[in-house]
Parts: sequence; structure tokens; C-alpha cells
Amino acid sequence: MSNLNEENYEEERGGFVFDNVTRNMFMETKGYQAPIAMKTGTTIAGVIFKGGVVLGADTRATNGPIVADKNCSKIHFIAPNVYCCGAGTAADTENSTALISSKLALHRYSTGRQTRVVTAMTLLKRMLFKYQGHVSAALVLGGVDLDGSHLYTIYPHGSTDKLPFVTMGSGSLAAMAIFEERFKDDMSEEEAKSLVHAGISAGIFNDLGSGSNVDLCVIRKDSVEYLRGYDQPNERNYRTSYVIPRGTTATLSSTEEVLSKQLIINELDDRMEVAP
Amino acid sequence: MEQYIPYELPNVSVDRPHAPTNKLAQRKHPVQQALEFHEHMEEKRKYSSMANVYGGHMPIHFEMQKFLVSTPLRLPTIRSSGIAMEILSGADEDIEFEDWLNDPNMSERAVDLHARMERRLGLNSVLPK
Repeated sequence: MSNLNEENYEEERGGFVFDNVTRNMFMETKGYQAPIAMKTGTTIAGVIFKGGVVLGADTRATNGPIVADKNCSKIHFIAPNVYCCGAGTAADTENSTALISSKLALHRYSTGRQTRVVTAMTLLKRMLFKYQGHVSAALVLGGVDLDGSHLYTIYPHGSTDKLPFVTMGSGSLAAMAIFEERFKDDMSEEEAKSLVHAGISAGIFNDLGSGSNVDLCVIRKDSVEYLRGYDQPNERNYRTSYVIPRGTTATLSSTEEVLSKQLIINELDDRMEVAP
Repeated sequence: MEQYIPYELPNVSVDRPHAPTNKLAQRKHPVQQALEFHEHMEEKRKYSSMANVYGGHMPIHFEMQKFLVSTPLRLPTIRSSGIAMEILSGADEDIEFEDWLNDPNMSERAVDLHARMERRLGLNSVLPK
């Protein structure tokens, strides 16, 4: 009987599939070199100011040495009062924030209360810890709830920090250098925005993994302002125009050929024979 | 005397086609191990808190309910939504990767009813189950 249960339970489940693991291990014993994970690059940061939180991110997505997207969005929605910047594997940050966002939406329907930032943080760290760092997502989580403004960093293995100013990703050192020099307690919104802008810009210009534009997200007590493309310091100013006038290439000779003649089909009345 | 090694033909229509058939060669991915360990620890934690709050009978009662609810009553290939199991585990009020990645309801794999039934009744293996 227990055998039946196990079998039934096994085939009902979705989620990650590990069917090819044994095959891959076997192939490795035969000398196959499995592809290694690519380096990722990002600058993401956040700062707490007097009335809320400012999150910031660059917009470069890389695929090894290639810039895959020059204007991708790294600030993800978690809840109406909570947003999250993601560094690491793009698919992992995208899907883990989407999953937690859905979990929190269900939780809000169930409780009818505003989401707390700690709740989002705890769900994220539990999920990341469960996968033991194999879900490559390094996050900056910020939001405003009934307890005030909160800013967390969440590492891929599930550890967290709660600080007034944080940075993450390969450009975190460049951004942190700016924050450590210029951060003050109880800044105004404009001061905080310009500080995050300066931090992300430091990442864009000094870290090779980061680049393109600055995105900001300002979360206040009862409003959110998502500033996509807050600063665009790397616009392409000159672009070759490829509008070539008709007749630029001379026609040397031309021939015309009819590929097929029109075919007329006469439909006959051939209904299916049903009975003899 | 030579040791008899039970041999079972890989039943592709029943099993997942890439699933390893040789039990001895089964090695696990670290993520799979982590997930299994996590599930085990979560269950232990849940049962111990259940026992602390309601008494030692509660985990046993819960385990019995789980057994009853997971017993297949339908013919093979006719899937049950498993709603009772979801209610017991609390999965009905939550969303996980299992709910939207590789959903068995969206599977493109054709299943062989007869093979499944033979398997359930233990007709297709050399040794009885």
C-alpha cells in the first residue's frame, strides 16, 4: 500500500526536474566538460532618507563578455509598498522576486493588511536558504510599512543585513565608496536621490559589469515613484543613417519568368459512402 | 552461488523518459539533496511543534490523514487535484515553484493507461513488488 502512495505522490509533483543529473555525471566521467557559470555584473543600491527609501540600479545585462541588454530593468515589484533590486543571474532574480510577490499578494488577500518589509525579507531569505545558494540572487529590498522605512540586503545563501545604506553586485564597492563618504542620517528626498544617483554612476563608470542608465525608485509613506531612466549618461550621440535611395545599385539585366500557370479545380460531388 | 540481480526493463511510457533506471547508479544533484533535506527538516519541525501544542497523538493522527488522502482511488492517468493533501499541508493558500514550473497538468507527455495499470498491479515486472 505504501508503494502505491509513493508512486502516486511522485508523479503528481511539479517543480524542478533532476532527470538528467545521472546522465550528466556519466558524461563527465567520459571527459565531457560541463559549461561553467558566467560572471555576472550589476550595481544596485539603496538609501534610507527622512520620509522613505530610495532604491537605485544600473541597466546593463551581460552574457559573459557581451552586453546582452543595454536598458534592462533591475528594480522589481514586490508589493505596492515594497520594491526589490536584483543582482546575479537575471532569470533567478526575476523569478524569485515574482514568486515572493505572488506569495505576498496571497497573504494580503488572506489578512487584508499592508505587507511588511520584514515579511518579504523573511520569505526571500527562507527560499534562498532552501536552495543553498544555487539560486543566484543577491537582492536589495526596500520599503515603507507601518513600522517605518526598512532597507535590507539579501545574499544568495540567505543571509541578510539591515542597514541605512546598502549596495550590492559587482559595482557595490564603487557605490559604497560614495555612500560611505556622503551619507548622512535624515537626508531629504532630493539629497537621497542625488546620493543614490552618484553611487550608481560610480558603478556605471568604474565597474565593467555595470553600465548604461540609472534607474531609481522612491518609496515614501503612501506613494511610490518609479523613475525608469532617471539619468541616461551613455546615449549614442552619433548614428550612421542607412537610408539608401532607390536605384543606388544599377540594374544590369532583368528577366521575367512565370513560375506556375493558374490551375482550375473542378470540385466533384463525392460524398462519403456511409452504407453499402 | 551467483547472486541474482533483479532486472526490470525501463518502462519509458510509465517512467519519465530520462529518469535513471539503475538504482545503484542513482546519484543526486546537490539541489535535489538540499530540497529533500529541507522537506524532511520542515516536517520534523512541524511535527515536533504539533506534539508540543496538542500532544504526541497529533503527529500520528496527521500522518494517518496524509496516508488516507494520498491513497490513489482513481484509475491511473486520471489525475486527482490532490486538494485534500494541499489543505493538510497548507499548499492551497500558498504558491511555490511546483505550482507553475513543470506543472503535471500541462505535461505534453503521453501516458499509457494499460502500462500504468499493469505497473500498479505489479504485472509488468519480473519480480513481484
